[in-house]
Amino acid sequence: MIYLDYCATSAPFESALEAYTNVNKFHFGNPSSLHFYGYESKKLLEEARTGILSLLNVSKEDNLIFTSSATEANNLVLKGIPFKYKNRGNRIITSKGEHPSILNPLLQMKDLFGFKVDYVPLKEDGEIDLDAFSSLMGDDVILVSIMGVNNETGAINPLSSISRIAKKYPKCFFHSDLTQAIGKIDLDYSMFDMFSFSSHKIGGVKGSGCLVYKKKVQFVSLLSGGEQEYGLRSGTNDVASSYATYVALKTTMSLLKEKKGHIVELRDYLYSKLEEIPSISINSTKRGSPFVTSISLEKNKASVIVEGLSNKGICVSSVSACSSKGEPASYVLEAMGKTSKQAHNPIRISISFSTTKEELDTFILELTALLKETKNI
Amino acid sequence: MNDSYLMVHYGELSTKGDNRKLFIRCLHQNIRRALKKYEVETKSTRDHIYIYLVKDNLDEVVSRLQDISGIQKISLVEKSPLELDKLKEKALEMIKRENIKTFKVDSHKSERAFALSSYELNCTIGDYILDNVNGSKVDLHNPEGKLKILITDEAAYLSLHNYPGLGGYPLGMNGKVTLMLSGGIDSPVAAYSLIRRGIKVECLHFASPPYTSASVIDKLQDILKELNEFQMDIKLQIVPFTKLQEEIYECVPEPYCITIMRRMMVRIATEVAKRNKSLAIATGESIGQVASQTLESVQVINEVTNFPILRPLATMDKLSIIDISKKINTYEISIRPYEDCCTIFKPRRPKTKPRLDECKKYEEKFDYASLIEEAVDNLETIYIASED
Repeated sequence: MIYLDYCATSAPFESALEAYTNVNKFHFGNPSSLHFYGYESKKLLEEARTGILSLLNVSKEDNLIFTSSATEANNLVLKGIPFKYKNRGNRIITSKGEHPSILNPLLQMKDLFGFKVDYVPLKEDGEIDLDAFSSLMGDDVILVSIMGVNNETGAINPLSSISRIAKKYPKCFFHSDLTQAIGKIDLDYSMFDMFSFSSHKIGGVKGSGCLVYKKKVQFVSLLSGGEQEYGLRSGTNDVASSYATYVALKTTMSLLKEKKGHIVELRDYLYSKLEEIPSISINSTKRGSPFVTSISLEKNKASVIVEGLSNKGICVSSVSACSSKGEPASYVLEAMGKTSKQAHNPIRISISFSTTKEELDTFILELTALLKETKNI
Repeated sequence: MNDSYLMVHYGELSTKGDNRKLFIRCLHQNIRRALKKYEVETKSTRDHIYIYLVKDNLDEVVSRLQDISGIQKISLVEKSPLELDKLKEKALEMIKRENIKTFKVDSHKSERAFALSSYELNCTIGDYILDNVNGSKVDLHNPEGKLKILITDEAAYLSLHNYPGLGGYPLGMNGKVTLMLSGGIDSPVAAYSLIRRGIKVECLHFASPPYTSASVIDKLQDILKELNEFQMDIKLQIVPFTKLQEEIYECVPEPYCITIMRRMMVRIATEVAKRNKSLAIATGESIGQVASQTLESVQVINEVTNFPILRPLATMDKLSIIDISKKINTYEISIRPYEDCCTIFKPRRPKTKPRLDECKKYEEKFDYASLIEEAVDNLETIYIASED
């Protein structure tokens, strides 16, 4: 198998799996218990929490809670903040390129709870239009949620500029979904009021995510119960997953330091090969995350090519599974002003530290053959 | 559960004259196989099959029997010796146990040696119950309990409860067909209708990777696992159809693509049916449902084979087909969204009245015969069987 779908998920690092198993085996106590065994678990949980905060260099002002996923962390922000601060205003700003775990909760906030949501348009390169963002801002905005790295194209948003603009409005908090950014690009994490990420994309285990937030920020919680995680996220803690997240982040950050050049070289190599194929266009830019490359097929159907590659043991992704009920289009590519053909037929290639040049060669070879062989039925 | 039996009433097979023994043997075999894990004892006679329950598993056994074709109904019966006093006591015991106040007695005799006529037996048993159950009444039209008594040459069988069966013929008695299975809503229902009629079904699926998804095969296996309730082992053969489909796309004008594709499929199905010794081809077509299922299309497509094509859903409307697919638990699987060979070509204006001479003209443009041979030589076969 040649796996080039790391934006979807990655294999857990050995070190993270080992941590996960060991905690479950030898420290299965409930961190809320009052006996010594519970206390041991509690220590591990707090070690993971402070460990992650210090890896991200935000240990002083920030706090972290463990969630079941980035989706849950996003929901907590997008619902918990407006509910808490609705007396300050009722407008939320996001972008047209966000993940569904941002867009759909905001639709609920709009349709069910009467909040106003404004969408910042994307530029041709997939980044948000900063001028448009600036002009959308106002005193009634209580929350800005704009992602770090786009999951379809790899475009990196101008986060420090967004943060600077948002800070002019003291009633507004700035949140960023950093699922595709964390451990993949260098960032100053102190610029956010809140950010969320998921564990399984950085070599942790599935079913685990984090929300980091400035201690001054308050939320209405979505899950009430035993008051775990500072009362913001009730439910018995999954210490093993949380600890695995810590180990995975440590591993991935040291790999980033060590192999960043290698990833950029791989990406540049991939671009050079892709540029030789006439019937595709590249949607990503070299300013974006080197881990993600999005292309569009000008002649073929992406779902067919993805299936053909899959039959050859190569995993990449398209917009979504092929469907007989009308082909879905990528709203991200549409927002970037791509043609309908391009928006309907994207393929995303996402690599990891373990990807090799040989794997990319095989991918290019098979892709080229399939593009030639398959008819546009 | 002592003295409790299930009595299986034969379906339409009771009209089958000389073949009767063969039919009963086949049904008995099917029942034994289906009930293997339930530890029951079975016995077949000219009129019924009796199932003696060793364990307290009535509901499970009845529910399994209700999926077996060739059974009209199933009665829960209790056995009594052929002595009037014991018969009366047994009848009274059953009525009392169920706390029945209004009742009717309905006797049948297959043994002439018994002293009383059916009518006399009804009256005698009825009187005995009236005398011994306070407040009991006979109601011939709408009784709470209908006590059926069957007198055979070795015992009497009394019953108060019946369960409907699937009807039809025992599976395997009416030969075997090759069914074209797409994975949509209709073809599994067609399979069910055929099985219910005692026809063994083997399935043929046309796959066009990479235009169709490999997940379709999982979907088909899930569908066939549901159908295993009715036919315990099902053979699925997968035809590699990509090359033919590409050729059709290259050589045939868009409105005729589906018609020609169906003609190719029927040609392949005919070859496979011959090799598998099937007696007919079957499809889930319903007249008029889509362009390739108008009578005009059916006629033009049918022209390529001299094999009979059974279309059990031909005159059914979509809603009735959906109802059955829900009943047999295939609906939710069928609506999973994957491409199949029929949904790849989506001509904007498919021919609803294709012409045979046009079809022949387009088919001359490519060497379909050798592509068909190649496809038939490279079938992949999967067997889907129920675990018990």
